[in-house]
Amino acid sequence: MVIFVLDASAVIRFLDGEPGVHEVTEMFLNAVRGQCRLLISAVNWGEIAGKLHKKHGKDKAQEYLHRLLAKGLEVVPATAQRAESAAIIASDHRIPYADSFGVELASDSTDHVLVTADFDVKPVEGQIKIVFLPVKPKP
Amino acid sequence: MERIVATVSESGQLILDDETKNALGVPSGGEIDLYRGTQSVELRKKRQAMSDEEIERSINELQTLLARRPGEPSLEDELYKMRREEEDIIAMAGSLAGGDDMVAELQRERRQHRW
Repeated sequence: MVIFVLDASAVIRFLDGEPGVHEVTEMFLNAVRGQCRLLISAVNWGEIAGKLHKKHGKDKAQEYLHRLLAKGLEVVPATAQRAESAAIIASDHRIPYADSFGVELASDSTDHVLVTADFDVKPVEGQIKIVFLPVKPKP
Repeated sequence: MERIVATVSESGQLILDDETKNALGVPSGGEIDLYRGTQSVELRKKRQAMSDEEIERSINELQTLLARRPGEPSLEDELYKMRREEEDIIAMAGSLAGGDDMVAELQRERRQHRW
């Protein structure tokens, strides 16, 4: 079974209705049908929580976080071991630390596929499976 | 003697004949909507007429599918819940659109922590 590792950017694109919303919607639909799994690192989950809280307030943020979890999104704890591995990925490939948690999680097996709208993870393309969501057209 | 006990519509609706419904305890007028569930793929194969042996096996499979174990939701309950979740996913998609480019903002913040 395919295991999609959603980056915070993928979930935000889904909620915002920006490019990639259709792809991520389909992933969520397939997850509730038991046809795939959706994971997210706790670090990236925190990024979403922060963004929703800042933009939409506490109540709405809580509501949406709860709804996302109800759709089968599994939050994977950022353990000490995962943090170390992520830090090494960030250092070796010069990618932002938060991005490296998604990359690290997607490295767990060949069934894992990172889904992101953040092209800063390009340096690890080829080492893990990545679905890049469409680029948002410039205004 | 061959007869069709179950067919699956293109939309994933499982249609049973009356005798099979009775055998399975499905209420009169009740239909079981598998709605693109994984089982529908298997059941699609049962569209054509089946032998008595196949009918018996099919009924056994359907009874297993529909059996309510103690403390577990029935297949229909699960399918109803799944349908509700699907509707909510579609409702959530784009529901926070506000014109801000939150991903670009996220990326900027992340880059501040690049080593």
